[in-house]
Amino acid sequence: MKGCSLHCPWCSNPENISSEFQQYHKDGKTGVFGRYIGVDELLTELLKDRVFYGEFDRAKTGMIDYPGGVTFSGGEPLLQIDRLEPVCMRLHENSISIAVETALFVDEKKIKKACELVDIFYVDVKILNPERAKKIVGGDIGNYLRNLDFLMNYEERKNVVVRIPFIGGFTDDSDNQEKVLDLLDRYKDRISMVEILPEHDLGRSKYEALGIESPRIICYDVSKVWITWYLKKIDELGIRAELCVI
Amino acid sequence: MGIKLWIKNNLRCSYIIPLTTKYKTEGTVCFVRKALSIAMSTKVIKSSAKKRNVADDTLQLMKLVDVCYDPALTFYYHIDEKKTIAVRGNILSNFPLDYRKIIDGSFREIACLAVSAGGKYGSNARKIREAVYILHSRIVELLKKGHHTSVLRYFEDILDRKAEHFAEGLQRILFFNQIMWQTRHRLNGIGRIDRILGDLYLKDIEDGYLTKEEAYDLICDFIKCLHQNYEFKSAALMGDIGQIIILGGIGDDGNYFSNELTELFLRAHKELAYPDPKIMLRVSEKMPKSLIKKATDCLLARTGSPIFSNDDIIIKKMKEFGYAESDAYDYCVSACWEPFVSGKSLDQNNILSFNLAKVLFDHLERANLKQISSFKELIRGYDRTLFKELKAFVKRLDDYVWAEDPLVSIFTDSCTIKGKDISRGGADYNNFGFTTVGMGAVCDSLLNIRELCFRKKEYSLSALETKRKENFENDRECYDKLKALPGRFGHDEKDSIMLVNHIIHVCNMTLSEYRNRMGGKIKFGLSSPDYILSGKKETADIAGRKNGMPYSTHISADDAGYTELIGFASDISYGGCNINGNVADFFVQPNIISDNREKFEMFIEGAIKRGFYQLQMNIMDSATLIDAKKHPEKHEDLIVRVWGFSAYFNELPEDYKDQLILRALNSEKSVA
Repeated sequence: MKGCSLHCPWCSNPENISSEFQQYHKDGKTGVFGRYIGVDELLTELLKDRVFYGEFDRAKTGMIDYPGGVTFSGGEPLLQIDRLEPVCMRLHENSISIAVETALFVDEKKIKKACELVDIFYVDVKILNPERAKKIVGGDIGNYLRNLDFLMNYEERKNVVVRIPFIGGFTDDSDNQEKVLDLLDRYKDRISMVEILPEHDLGRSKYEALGIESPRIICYDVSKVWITWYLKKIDELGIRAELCVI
Repeated sequence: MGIKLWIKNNLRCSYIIPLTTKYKTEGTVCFVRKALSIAMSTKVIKSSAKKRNVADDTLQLMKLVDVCYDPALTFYYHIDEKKTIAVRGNILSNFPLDYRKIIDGSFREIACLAVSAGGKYGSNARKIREAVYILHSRIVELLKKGHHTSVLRYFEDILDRKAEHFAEGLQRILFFNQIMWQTRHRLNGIGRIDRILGDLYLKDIEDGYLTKEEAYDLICDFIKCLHQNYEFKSAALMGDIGQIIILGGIGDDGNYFSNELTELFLRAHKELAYPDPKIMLRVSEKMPKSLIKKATDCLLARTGSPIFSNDDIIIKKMKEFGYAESDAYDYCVSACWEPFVSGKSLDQNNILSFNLAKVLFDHLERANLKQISSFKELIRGYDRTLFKELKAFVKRLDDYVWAEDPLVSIFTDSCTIKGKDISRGGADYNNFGFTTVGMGAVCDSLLNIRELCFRKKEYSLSALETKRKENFENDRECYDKLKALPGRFGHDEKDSIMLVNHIIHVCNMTLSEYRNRMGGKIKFGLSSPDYILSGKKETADIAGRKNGMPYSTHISADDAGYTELIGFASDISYGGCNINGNVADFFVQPNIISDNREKFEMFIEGAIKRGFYQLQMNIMDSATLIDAKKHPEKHEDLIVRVWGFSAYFNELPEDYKDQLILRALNSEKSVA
C-alpha cells in the first residue's frame, strides 16, 4: 500500500513512502511506481494464490501457528484500512488469514477498525525517544504508544509479532534499547514473538531507480554482538525472539 | 529427408552418431578428432549370417563382449564400450524396459513365449534368448572362477525363475540395463522401481533376510553401478543419460502409492549426489506430507532431482488421449519427462523439436504486412501458417525407419501375441511425440506487436518487422521500448494464458487426425531440449530476444514470482495432443528453502493442488555459478539441472553455463 506516515532513513521500500505516483528508470525500462486497484481486481489477484495460503479457521488457529495468508504491507497499510474493509471481509469469507506490517503511526480510529479486521499484526518498534522519533522518522510517539496500548488490550486477543529494525546510528543506542526492553516487558504477555531485523541494503536498486540517494547503511561488527545481547535480554523477558535472516 | 536422417535410416555406420553428438559443442576440429577416435576404437561385431540382422549380430556380440567384474561392487555391471552392433535404421530408445516382467516372472518365460510365436519374430526371439543366455553363462563362469560367491548368489539363477530377493531384483535390472546399453539403445530409463521391487523388499524385511540399512547400502551400490560409463552413456551433452528412476504415484484404486523404498531411493540419491541416475517423483494431492519433506531434503542436495510429475493432471489427460485407464495410472516417462507406458509402447516421444516462434516470423516474411490491420487478423494469419508448417513437420516423422528390435519386443506385451516386432507396430501404443520451443517468444512477440503496432500505433508492423530482421541494430530506442514492455509468458495474467491456450488449441486441431503408419497418434509438449540450439539458429524476435540468443527454458519466466509461474503453468490447457511433457522450471536460492523449509513444503503442496503438469528446479545461486565458471577447479562436483537432466556444471558448453548464470541472476532480482 503506497503512502507512509513516517520517513525512516533506512527504509527499504522508498517507493512506498509517498502516496503519489512516482516515475522510475531501471534496467533501461521506465515505469511508474503506484497504481490504483479496485476491490474486485485486488480480490481476483489475491484469490489466485488461495491454494498456497492453507486453510485458516479464526476460531481454532493458535497464536503462532498460522498457515499462509495475505499480508498488507507498504508504506503504512493502516492508512487505507477503511478501503481494505471489503477486501478483508471477503478474505475471511474464504478462510484466508490477514496480517499487516504496521508502524502504528496512524489515527486511533484506524487502529480500532484494524483490530476488527486483522488477525496478525507485525508491529515495528523503532525509536522510542519522542524528540528523536519526531526528528528522524517524523512520528509522534504519544500516538504510537496509545495505539500500541489499544492493540495490546483489545478484547479479542490479537497475534502480535514485534519487529525491531536494528539500524546502526538510529535504533541501536543503549538508551533506545532500554526503552524497547521496558516496552516489551510491559506487554510481554501479549506479544507472540519478537523479530530483530538487521540492517540491509536490499532497497538500493529502488533508490537508484527513483533517482534518490541511497541511505548509508553502516554495517559495523559491534551490531552482531549487540544483537546477540538484545536477543538474550528479550529471551530473559520470556518472549520468543529471533534474528531475521536477510 | 535430411542427410542425417538418410544416414540413420540406411547406413549401418550410423552407430557412430549417438556416441559423438555430445562432442559437437566442442568445435569442429575437436568433434572430428573425437568421432574418428571413437570410430577407430569401436569394433563393429557382425555375425557370419549371409543376410544378417540385428538378432544375429546381437548373438555374436554377446559371445564377444568383454566380461569383467569389479570386486569393489556388490553387483555385476559391465558395459564393453568398445564393441557394438551396426544395423540399419533408428534404434528405439528413450524409455524404460518393463523390468517387472523379469522380476515377477522370468526372462526364460517371456523369451520362450516369444519364440513360440514362430515365424521371423520367433526366430529372432530365439537368437536373442540365446544371446542373453550366452552372456549370462560367460559372466557366471567368470564369477565362479574368481570365487565371487556373494555376487554369484544374486546372479546365478536370474534368467530361469522369478526373483526371490530384493538384491537379486536389483541385479536383474542392472543386467538387462547393461544389455540395453550394449545393444545401442540410448537413454535407458529405470522405471517405477519402488513399485517393481516393493514386495521383494518387504518380504526380505519381514523374513529377517535384510535390514533397512542393508537395503539402503544395496541401493547405493545399485546407483553407483548405473552411474558408471558416464561419458559413453551421455547423449546430446555430457550428463544427458536418461536413467530416470520413477518413484511414488497414484494407483488405480485412487490411493497414493509409496513405500520405504521410495524414501530409501530419495535418501540414497541425496547422499550420493550424482547427476545420473536421476529421480522423478510422481506427486498428488493425496501424497503424504512426509514424502514432500523427504523430496525437499533430496532437492537440497542440489542435483536437480527430483523433478515432480503431477498425477492429478497427467493421468486424466493420458486417459483422454487414449491410454487405457490402468496404463495411465502406471505411467513412467521417457528419458526426461514425456509420459510413457512401459512394456506396452513403441512411443518415441522425443523425435524432433518444433519452433513455434519461427512460425510467426515465417508468416511475417510471407504476408503482406500492410494488409494486416488488426491483431485478430495477425493471429488468424499465424494460425494458418502454424497449421501448414505443423502438418509438413509431422509428415517428416513418417520418414523415420525404425530398426528391428527383438530384445525390446520380447519385453513388450502385444508383440509376442501378434508375432510382430515392436518396430513394425507390434506394441499396444505406437505413438510419436515431439517437443516445442519458442512458446514464450511467440506469446510475448504477439502481445508486444499488439501493444506497439495496434494499440499505441508507435510502429507499423512492417517497420517493426524490418527492425527485427536487422536485429534492432539500427534502432536502439525501439529495442529499449520492447525491453521496457513487461514479460507476459509465465506471468499469471489473462492475455498471455489466453494466447498460449489458443496456440495450443490450433496445434491440437492440426494434429488430432494424424496417424502414423502403425496407427499411432502424435503428442507434443511445451518443454524441449532445444531452447539453446534452436535459439542459436534463429533471428531476433519481438520479445527482446536478439539473433542467436536462447529461448526461455520450458515453461519459465525468470522475472516472475514462484506462485505466479505456478499459476500460469496450471492454467495452460493440457490434454488433447499436448501431453508430451510440460515442465515449469525455476531457480531457487538454496537459503530460501533452508531458511523457510515449512513454507517451501507448503508451497509445493499448494502448487500440486493448483495443478502444474510437471515441475523442476535448480536450487542454486548465481554467485556459486559465476565462481564455478571462473574457478572450475573449486567446483568439480557442482551439479546443475539442464533441460531434463542434470550435469556437472564444469562439463557444460560455455553457452549453457552462461544461460544458467543469467537465469540465476534474473531470478534473484525478481525475488529481491
